[in-house]
Amino acid sequence: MDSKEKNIDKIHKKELGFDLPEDYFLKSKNQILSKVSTNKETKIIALLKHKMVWFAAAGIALIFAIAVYKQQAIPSIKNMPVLVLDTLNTDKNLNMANYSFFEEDVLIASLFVSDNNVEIFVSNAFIEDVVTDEYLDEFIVEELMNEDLF
Amino acid sequence: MKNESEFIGKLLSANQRDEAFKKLLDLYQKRLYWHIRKIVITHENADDVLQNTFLRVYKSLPNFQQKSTLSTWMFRIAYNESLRFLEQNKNKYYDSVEEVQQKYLNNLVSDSYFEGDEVQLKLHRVLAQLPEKERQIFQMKYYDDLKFREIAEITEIAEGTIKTLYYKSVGFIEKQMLDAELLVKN
Repeated sequence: MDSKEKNIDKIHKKELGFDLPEDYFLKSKNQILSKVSTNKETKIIALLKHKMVWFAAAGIALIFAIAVYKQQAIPSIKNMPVLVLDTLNTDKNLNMANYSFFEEDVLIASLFVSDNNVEIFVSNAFIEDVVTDEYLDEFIVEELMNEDLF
Repeated sequence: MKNESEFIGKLLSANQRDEAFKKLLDLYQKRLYWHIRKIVITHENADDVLQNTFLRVYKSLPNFQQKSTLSTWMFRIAYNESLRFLEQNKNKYYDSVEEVQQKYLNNLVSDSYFEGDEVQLKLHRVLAQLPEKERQIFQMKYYDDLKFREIAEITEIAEGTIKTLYYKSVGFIEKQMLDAELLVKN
C-alpha cells in the first residue's frame, strides 16, 4: 500500500468520519471477482436460453403447421385418395339404377377416416349431398322447361 | 500509470484479461470506493455501487476506446453508477436525487460505519448546503485529488466552469466553517 492510498483512507476517516468494516477491501475484491466469473457463466446460460426460445418458437410453428394440415386432411368425398374415389365411382355407376349410392359412399369413405373425425366427415358429406340434390333439382327443372319450349 | 497502453492491451486480451482485471482492482478499488462513498454516503450503498461499477467496467472493457485515461474512464463509470443508484432510490417519496442524499446524510449519526464527531457532522452539513454539482466537483478535487481536466471529462462539464464552481464552493465552505467556528481566521 503506497502513501497516497494510506492518505486517502486517513483523510476520509479524519475529515468525514467515514469508517469501514475490517478487511473490507480484501472481501470486496473477492466478491467482485466471484461476481465477474458468475457473470461469465450467466452469459453462457443466457445464450442457451436464447437458443431455447428459438427451439420453442420452432416447436410452436410445427404444432401450428400440423394442426392446419390435419384440418385440411379431414377428408371429404372430393378429396379422398384416388383409389378410394375409383372404388366409389365404380360403386356409384353400379348403383346408379337404384340411386342409393350416397349412404354406401359415406360408409365406405368413413372407413378411411379416424374415429375423431368421423362426425365432421359425416357432416361434410351430408352438406355435399344437399348441395348436389339442389343442383340436380335445378338441372331437372331446366331440362323440363327446355323440353316444353322446343 | 506507466505503460498504460500495455496494461490496457492485457485487459483487452482474452487470455490475460482476468489477471489484468485483478491488478485493476488493486489499483482502483480504494479510490473508487471513496469517490462513491461521498456520493451515496453509507457504506452499504457504497459497497453495492462499487461492485456494480467493477462489473460494468469488466463488461465494458471491450468497448473502451481509450479516448480518455483508464482512470478517468473508471471514475466516470463510478460517478454514473452512483447517480444511477440515487435515482433508483428516489422512489415515490422523494422528488430529487438531492433529497435522497439528504435522507442518507440525516441518518448518518445512526450509521454503524460513521465514527465522526460534532465537527465532522458540521462539515457534512456545510457540504450538504452546496448545490449537488458544486459539492461533487469540490469533493472530486479536494478528496479524490482529481485534476480539473479529469473532473471535466467525468462530469461532462467544461473545464473552465469546473474551475469557477470549485473556487466558488471553496469560498462558500470557508465562510461557513468560519461561521461555525470550525476554522480560525489567520
